[in-house]
Amino acid sequence: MVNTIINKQDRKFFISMAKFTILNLHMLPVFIDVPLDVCEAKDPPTGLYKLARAGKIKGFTGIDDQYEPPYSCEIVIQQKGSECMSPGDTAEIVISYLEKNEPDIS
Amino acid sequence: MTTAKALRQPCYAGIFRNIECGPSPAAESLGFPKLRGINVTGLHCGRRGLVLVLRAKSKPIRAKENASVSASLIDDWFKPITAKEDSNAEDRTSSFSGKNLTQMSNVGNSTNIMWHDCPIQKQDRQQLLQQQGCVIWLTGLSGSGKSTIACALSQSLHSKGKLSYILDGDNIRHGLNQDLSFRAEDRSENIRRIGEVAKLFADAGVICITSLISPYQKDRDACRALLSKGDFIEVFIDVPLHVCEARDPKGLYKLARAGKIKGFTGIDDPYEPPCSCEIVLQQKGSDCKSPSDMAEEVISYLEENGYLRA
Repeated sequence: MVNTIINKQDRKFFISMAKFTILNLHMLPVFIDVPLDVCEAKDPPTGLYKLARAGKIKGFTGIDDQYEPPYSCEIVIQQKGSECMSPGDTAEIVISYLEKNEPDIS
Repeated sequence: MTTAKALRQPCYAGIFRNIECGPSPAAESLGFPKLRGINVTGLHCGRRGLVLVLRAKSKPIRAKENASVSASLIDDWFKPITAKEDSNAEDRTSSFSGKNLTQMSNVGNSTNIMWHDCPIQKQDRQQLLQQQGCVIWLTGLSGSGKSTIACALSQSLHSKGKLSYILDGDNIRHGLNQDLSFRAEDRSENIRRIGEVAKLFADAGVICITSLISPYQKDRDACRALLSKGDFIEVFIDVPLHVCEARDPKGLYKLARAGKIKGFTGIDDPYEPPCSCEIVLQQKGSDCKSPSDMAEEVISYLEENGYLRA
């Protein structure tokens, strides 16, 4: 399980690495589609958005560095309006996907 | 792994000096005193001094910087844990690392990062796998048989239903460490990175077998320091240089002797045999032990010390 901010360029590299590796990795991109204003409103416990807005952090993703949403990925976990899905519910979406799909070993 | 293994003695020398354990031998072996009314899940030595890591949402109590805790204070606060609390031992151990402290930190070149702990801990994974996560660090000259023994060991563990993974020095250079050369500093960095990855595997509950020359004691000790006591098992493949050179499975000794490879370990770069390691796999004279025999020596060590059960 990889947990990080990945931009398109990074993701292409990641996919190409995965395709060629002898370990036969299966990459399942999961896009946590939450608007910037919601993320910024949450901000705690790290308080990094506040620091970035104040100019104390340079190149912060979403503020003065861009985030490129995936153009195609296996799973999109979306927050619809003000409705907030629980972490357990979002995890179940991924679990369901894993249960339904058998890896394409070709 | 017993709770006692998680103790880091230097951190407690001052604090525990005046503590008398209660009559219960179980409480004594646990080594964790109970802060009155609150159960202490571990002690963490940070740069700000001793931090008591408390359960639930209590904020940590920080000792003043450079202040010493008086004996009477210790006597008042610390009392032995009673036997009926044994069942919490694993919970306490998993919190021991102090990783659940909520604070920003700067590590190396990374700024503004925060360690995010997970509800599923090493103990949970070990319970699931029915084994102890650890690192078996095979060290020895090129041609001593590290990779062969690693494979034999992995096969033997697999046949016993144990999950293992090999981090082969050459294989890692195909991917993770492809940016590293064989200059002295890059060789150290190679070992450091493999050590960090091995630590993650051990935390995952996997028996991680590393197979790289790692000629310097300093580098091996640095990797050992990454893990809890008992989780790093150093195995010295003690095969004489002339035997390794006679084998020369990769043709490198020949090239090194011809001066085409500079700084080759054993030829014009030194190898420092371990001064104290857990296991020595020795080839005595012309008596040639098979790789699987050597692997079984390691398996025996693992079984005797409880690594093959949760």
